[in-house]
Amino acid sequence: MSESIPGAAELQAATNEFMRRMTQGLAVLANVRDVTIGSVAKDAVFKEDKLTLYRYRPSEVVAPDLRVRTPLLICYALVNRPYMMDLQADRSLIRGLVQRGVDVYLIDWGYPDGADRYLGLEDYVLRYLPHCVDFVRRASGHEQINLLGVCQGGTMSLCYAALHPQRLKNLITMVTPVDFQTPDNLLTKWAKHVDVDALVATTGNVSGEMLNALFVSVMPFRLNSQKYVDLLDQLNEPNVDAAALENFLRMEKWIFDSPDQPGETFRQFLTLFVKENRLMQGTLRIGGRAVDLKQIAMPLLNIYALQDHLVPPAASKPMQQLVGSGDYSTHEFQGGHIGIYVSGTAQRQIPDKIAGWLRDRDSR
Amino acid sequence: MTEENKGPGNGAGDWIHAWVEQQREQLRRAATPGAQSTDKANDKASGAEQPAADAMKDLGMRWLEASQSYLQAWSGAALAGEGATRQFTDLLARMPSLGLAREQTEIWRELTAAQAECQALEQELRAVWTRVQSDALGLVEKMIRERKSEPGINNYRELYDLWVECGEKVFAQVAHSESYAKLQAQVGNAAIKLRARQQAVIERGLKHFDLPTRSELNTVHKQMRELRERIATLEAQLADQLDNGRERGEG
Repeated sequence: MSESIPGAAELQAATNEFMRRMTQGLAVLANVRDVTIGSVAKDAVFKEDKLTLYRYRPSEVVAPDLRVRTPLLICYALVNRPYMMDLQADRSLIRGLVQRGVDVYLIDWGYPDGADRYLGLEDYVLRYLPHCVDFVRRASGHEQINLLGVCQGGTMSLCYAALHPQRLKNLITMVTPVDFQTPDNLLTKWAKHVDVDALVATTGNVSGEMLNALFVSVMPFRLNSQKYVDLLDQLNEPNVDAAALENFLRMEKWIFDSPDQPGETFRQFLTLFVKENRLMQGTLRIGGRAVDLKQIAMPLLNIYALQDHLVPPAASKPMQQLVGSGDYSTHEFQGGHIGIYVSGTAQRQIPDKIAGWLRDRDSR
Repeated sequence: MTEENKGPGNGAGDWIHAWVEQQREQLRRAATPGAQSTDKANDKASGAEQPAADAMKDLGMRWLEASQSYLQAWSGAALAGEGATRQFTDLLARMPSLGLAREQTEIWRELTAAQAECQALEQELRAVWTRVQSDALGLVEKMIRERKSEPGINNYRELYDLWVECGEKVFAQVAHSESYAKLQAQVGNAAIKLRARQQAVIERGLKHFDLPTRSELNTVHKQMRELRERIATLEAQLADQLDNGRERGEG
């Protein structure tokens, strides 16, 4: 830059200082050790194809009369990995639930590969999920169990609950969309003109990397650049918070550890739920069976996040009008799609809310 | 040369006729075992032996010379009329594929077309992103002007954060527009089309070497899934029958 341009020297100095801080941050980052994931001991109790069902070991310090007797099965989304539910000791919905006497099971869908490209929604909603529910019913001796669905897993749980209402005692949905065409839903707008049939016919499974690129491109300046500049900048502080840095890296791992989506399931989900909004219209059919959400008569707790940019509250709120439950409650969380699991506020609020709500309905 | 064997052209097409004769001569030499040039024939007549390898080399050299002369002729023509050549190429590209290489030509032609379409759309999308960045800079300037009374930008980091804020603001407006959604999807669809064409070319190559292709694997996976579904249905029916049998006290 020419010295004759006014301010050129100052800009050069400011740029140099910025770059010095970034470089210093990189040097600190280079010395960080690998992060570990998970905090609650668990056992694999059932396997089918790539699916593994885990049971978390109950806490021994909870008094028997404070325990929730009916077991809770968590159905996570196919997008991303379910260890978000138990990321680390101080960021763990599952730990919070176990400590409050809830008997927790979790479905890990695994990493689908090329052999799974023809798995459809019917395989997940009418085969895998029912098998897990039936396993928990048999193992616990309860005719009915509690089901908690997360995000896309919540949508699948709603479908399951509508088709098998007699097997569930209570249903909880977290950041779960039912209306996929709200005006603030950017991903739906983008999906509108995508030829999903050609996509799946050509790629087979839909790669997790491609989906990550899509999610990141929703806020490209912040998610591709600023969050890393923030990190490097913070690493210049005299007392670098090692735990905060590890938290960041753990979250990075989770965000980008994305399984591929089975092609046929992705095609059906994008077509039936997103493009045609059939859950909202009441015209959804899975495996030839009509999904009538009015069949969901069991108590239902719907938890959504007010700053969720992936599943805006408006996408979740209409659930109340769609289901047939006479005991419908909501919980609004002040935070985003991820913060609802990992923020400090979430640790204080969400496990309490869920365990309390379940306990209130446990003996009914 | 007599009038009868002058061939096509009858005077005006002499060069064509000469070319035909040249080809004939080449073919005659190649097809006649032991056929030699006048010199070689003389050598033979004089009793000199020529190993078979030399004969082959000789033949190869003649082909090489001939092809070089063709190439020179073509490149000369190309230099002389580049525009005409391009027109001819365009014409060829639009012609239906013919002959033995028809299928090969077709898949490569489709691949080329898909690549061109994809590149054009990508360029269009890049232009939109460039515009977003340019507009973001404009907004940065505007916001700094409006901030005059407030504390200004004190360091590079603050400027960077303002740029991010402006960038997201401008991008959000663009990203929510119907035209952007359409363009982004068009780019994605074109990329998928290109990938499909690449797969077609690769699969053709794999088949040539009798190697398994993704299409064949797809057929197998589809059949496996259907078989598993049928087994699950049969198992469920069997379980129902067993349950009914127990209820009737048969088991």
